[in-house]
Amino acid sequence: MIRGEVVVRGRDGPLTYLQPRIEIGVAGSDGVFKTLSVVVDTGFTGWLTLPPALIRELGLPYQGTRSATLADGLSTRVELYAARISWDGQALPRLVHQSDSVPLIGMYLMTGYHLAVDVRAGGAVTLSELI
Amino acid sequence: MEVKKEDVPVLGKQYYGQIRAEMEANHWGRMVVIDVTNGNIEIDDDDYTATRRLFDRNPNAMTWGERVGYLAPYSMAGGLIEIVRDAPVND
Repeated sequence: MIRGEVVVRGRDGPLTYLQPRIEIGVAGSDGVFKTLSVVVDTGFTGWLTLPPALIRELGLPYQGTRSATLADGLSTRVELYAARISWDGQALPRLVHQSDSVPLIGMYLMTGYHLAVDVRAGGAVTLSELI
Repeated sequence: MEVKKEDVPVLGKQYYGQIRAEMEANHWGRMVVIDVTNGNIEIDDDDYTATRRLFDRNPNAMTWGERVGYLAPYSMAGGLIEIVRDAPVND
């Protein structure tokens, strides 16, 4: 089981918002896993997004480019990199989307898992493998 | 063939345009991944698997991928947009 927490982001009072976060590991070209805090994004269909600076730091190899649909219905080009993702005790080779956003995990990575989020500050986030 | 990263989408769309009608007739919904350095093609339900096979064939592959019948193979917005079958090919 993977456990995380709903964290509060933004400025004080009404300008705050909540993010469901967990920690995962991503292996660099040296094979060493770096632990990252990522946001659970059920609207993202892929595995994982990472920002360009982190992809360079980890030395991930470029695999290709794809289109991705955005909320306005238009598409953007996204570069794909290969990475091993540490997920629930396993090291999974997968494709990483380069994006300037905070690192996101998407529905491909969570497939086969039960996702539960207590949507309040400090609430529990759990991902447990479906039997 | 030496390919620059920024040229991958243009080359990929050119290759895909040549096979699009056949892909839409026979592989609706599957991933078609093209190595734009040599024109190699792999078809699979899963982008990672098709891409892996292209890199097994050519360690210096640079790939473009299409989800057959959809505007884009990925979405940051919840869902993929399916094209209308038998619509005119514009690109």
